[in-house]
Amino acid sequence: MKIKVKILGVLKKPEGKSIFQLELPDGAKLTDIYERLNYTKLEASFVVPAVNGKVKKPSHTLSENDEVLLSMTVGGG
Amino acid sequence: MEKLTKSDLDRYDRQIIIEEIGRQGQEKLKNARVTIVGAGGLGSSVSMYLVAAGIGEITIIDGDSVSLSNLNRQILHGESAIGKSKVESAIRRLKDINSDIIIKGICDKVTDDNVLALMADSMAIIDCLDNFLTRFILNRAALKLEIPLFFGACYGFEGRVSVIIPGKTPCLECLLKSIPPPEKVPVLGATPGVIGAIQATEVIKYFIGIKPTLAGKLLLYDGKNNMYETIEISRDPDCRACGTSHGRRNE
Ligand SMILES: [Zn+2]
Repeated sequence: MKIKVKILGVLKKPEGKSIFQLELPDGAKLTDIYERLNYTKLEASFVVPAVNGKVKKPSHTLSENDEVLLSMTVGGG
Repeated sequence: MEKLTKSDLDRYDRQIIIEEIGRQGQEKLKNARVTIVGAGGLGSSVSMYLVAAGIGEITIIDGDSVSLSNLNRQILHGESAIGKSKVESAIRRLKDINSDIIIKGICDKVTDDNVLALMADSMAIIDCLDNFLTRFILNRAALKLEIPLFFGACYGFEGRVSVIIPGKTPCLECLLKSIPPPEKVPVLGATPGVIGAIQATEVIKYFIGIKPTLAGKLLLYDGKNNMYETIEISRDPDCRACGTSHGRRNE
């Protein structure tokens, strides 16, 4: 299935691209995207993932044409 | 309920003529009491706008002193304040902006032990902190006191804003499960300027009776690419702070 991915800000991007499509097997989870993006366990733990505009848990199962937005937890002031 | 004075009508004229505010809205602001935690980058922007807007009573809390490396973003403070407490410096600047309101300063760190006493009299908490541990302390205090928490955070060109209304929206810990380790956070001065101004706008909307647009949502701001995204947060039934299974609150 095709998944649209958008990465905001300083979070690691494949080849610097912030918007791209991924082909993932049916039943793939958000964590499968992290794996494709080569996020370490530590990096992945600070990602705030949203699917179709709603924050989801990393274990969330994706569906065809989902739009995933990834951003980093930030805490400065 | 304190009424508007003649001088108030003059001072706040440009915002009283905003249809959604009017004299009634301005009076609501005059009767509001808020606590701003942090007199750094976010605290600079939030406090100056809320003081100028005529929030009746503002308490600002910070335990640090001003240093040279603060000045790129903490526009409340100037070179003459280096070495002085941030609260003292903030009060001097804020009283110069508006001497008609009550401005209090507390030079202290917020802890688990003092948080409830510090916030007890407040109608809203504005998070202008630079670390998550204290943010979670504020989050739990807001839940306990049932007052809203206005969350703001920055990193480089990026910022986040959310409004937590206990009993109505998810809390900060529903959203943030693991937090990055403490580090020297890069911050462009204008970023907390933008983020703090958005927090201040949400605070004003809350008090004049317009639902804060970011209640239950997280605004993601990326100044480098001029991107603004808003995503919805859901309540986590297993949340350590507000989850029903932890007996804190119910829907
Ligand atoms: Zn929660």
